[in-house]
Parts: sequence; structure tokens; C-alpha cells
Amino acid sequence: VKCRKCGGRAVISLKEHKLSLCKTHYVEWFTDYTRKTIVKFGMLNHGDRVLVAVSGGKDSLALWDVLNTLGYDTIGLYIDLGIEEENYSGTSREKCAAFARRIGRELKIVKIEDEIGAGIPYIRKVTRRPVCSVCGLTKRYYMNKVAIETGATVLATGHNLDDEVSQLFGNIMNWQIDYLAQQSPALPERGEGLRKKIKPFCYFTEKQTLLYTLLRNIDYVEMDCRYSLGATTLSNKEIINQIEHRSPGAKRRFYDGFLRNKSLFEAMDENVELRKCARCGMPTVNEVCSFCHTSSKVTSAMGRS
Amino acid sequence: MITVYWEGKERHVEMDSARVSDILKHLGVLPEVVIVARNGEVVSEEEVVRSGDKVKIIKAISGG
Repeated sequence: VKCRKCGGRAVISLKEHKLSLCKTHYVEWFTDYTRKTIVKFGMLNHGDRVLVAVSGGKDSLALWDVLNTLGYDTIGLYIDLGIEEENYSGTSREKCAAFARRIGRELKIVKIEDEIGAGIPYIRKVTRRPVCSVCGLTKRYYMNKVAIETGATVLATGHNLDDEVSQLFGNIMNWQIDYLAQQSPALPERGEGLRKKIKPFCYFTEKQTLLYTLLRNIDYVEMDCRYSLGATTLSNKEIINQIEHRSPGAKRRFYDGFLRNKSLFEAMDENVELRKCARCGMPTVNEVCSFCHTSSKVTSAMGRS
Repeated sequence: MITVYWEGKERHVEMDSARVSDILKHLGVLPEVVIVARNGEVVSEEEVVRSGDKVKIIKAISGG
């Protein structure tokens, strides 16, 4: 198969775009498609300072690379969750630091253990919440907090089409109207303390972000977090890709259909007022935010032990 | 014989030549969730792999 742009050897055939591309033209197409997605959803303006949340995985490092190529003012954030098994957090942190050096950008590192005295495995034990839920809560809290502290106007994450469709599928399976109303490629800034959140890779499949990462020689963490093994997200992705295999473009049609009809869920959702957490000042719907609740549980458990 | 690296294991596929897509089918792997490298170079599923080639299948799907 030949590249449609230059006639060279194609490395990928993008069935949903009816396009085959060689290495050089794939990287060019990927960068330009990100730019178009940013414009389509009004994600960024050129005066924005973007905090890019990086995990050391392929998607987030690729996103930082593309935003940097497109000329945006970026700063990276790595949240060290204290997962010591197979040196997962240590390896991930090192990959992010090495990439920051490669592109000459600043990387902020937040170590959860330094912040609240323990890492995710201990917090999970104390709170008895599912580990992915504790992890998600912690990451969302620090991403927003660091965005404010660093003067970033927008927070960018590397969520791709498979992540978005898998989340959508899960939310529909459980009819979580509030989550459906809030799922978006670009969430505007809210109140005084909730920064704008964007997902510029929402139209790329995981295969497409992996190919970009490999072609750009970005060194990323290949191993999965051991806590994510067996997670619903992964089994949802498996089911969704079987559908995609039989019906190319199904993921994109499902996601686009949702975005076209999202107002139905927004109309059903109660628009709750945000206020400042009495302890930390971050935005919350309750008097004390969920993160402060969790953090105080950890502090008292540690005092007892 | 074609040598295939997949999920941390080395496997041998007794074929003289095959399309990448046929090897994936043989292993029960969906092309939507992987990238394939032949002798260290990324290739599309339509490319042909021959006996003596080393094929690495790289997983795209992660837990996030």
C-alpha cells in the first residue's frame, strides 16, 4: 500500500479517513489533525498557558510533544502516586523527566506521599474505595490545584477516542446521567477555581497515538499499572474494538453521535453550585471536598498505626 | 519460520510468507489494538512477512 501524499511505503491505512500514509506524512497528518480538533472544539487560544498532565504513557507524552510542536506555551505535570510494585511510579516519573529535558520544557512533580503522607496503595486500604476511583480523585484534585498554582489557564489530558468511547459505554451501561452530562472534549472553566479541561486527542484511536509515539521515538512506559489489570475500562475497550473490527468507524460514529445529542443529558442533569472547600479552598459541591475527606482519613489512620 | 514477539513471549509461526494481517488473525489479535514492527521497522497490516523475519507486536490498549 502506498502513501497517498508521496507514493512511498505506507505504515498505516486509516480506514475511517480512507487514507494511507508513510511515516513522515503520518506524523504531519497527526499533528495537523490535533490542530483541527483544537479549533473545532475551541480548546485553546494562543495566549493560553497549558498544563499537560503526563503519566509517562504514550498518549500524554505524545500530546505534550504535539502541543509543543504547534507552538503552545506548555508545562508538564507528573503526579507520583507512590505505586512501588515493579517500580511503576519511579519509572514513569523518569520517562516524563527525560521527555521534558528533550523538549526543553518545565515538568512539575507532585509526590502524593509528600502531600498527604502516603501513596495510593495505602490510601486505597484506608478508604476501602476501588483503587481507580481513589487514583482518579487524587489526580483530578492535583491537576486542578497545580494548574491554578502555575498560572495555567487550561489543563490538557491525553485521553483518546478509545478512552472516551469506553467511558461513554460504561456511563450508558449504568445510565449515569450526571457523568454523561459532564463528559466532553472541552469543559469550560467553572466558578473561581475549576480550570478549563481539554482532550485534544479525543478523535485518535489508541493505535494512532501509539504509532505517532513510536515514529517520534518517544520513550514511554509500556507496562500497565498493575491496579488497572482487570479494570472495566479495559474489558469495555476489548468489546468496543471487536465492534470496530466488524464495522470500521463505529467508535467515531458512536462518539460523534453522543456529542451531537449531549444536550439531552445536560438538560436532565441538575446544575449544582460550586463553592470553596472549607479546608483547602478548592471547588466542591459539599462543605468539605472529597479529597480533603480522603486525606483526613489517611492522616487519622496513620496516627493510629 | 517467522519469529513473533507478543505479550512478552517468543513464538514461532510455521509459514514461509504471510501478510501481517494473517499473522494477527492466526494469533487471534485484532489489528485495531496493535502496531506491528518487522525487523524493527513499523509496517502496515497489508505488508508481507517472510521466513527469517522477526515480528514484534506492540500493544496499543492501556488501562488509563
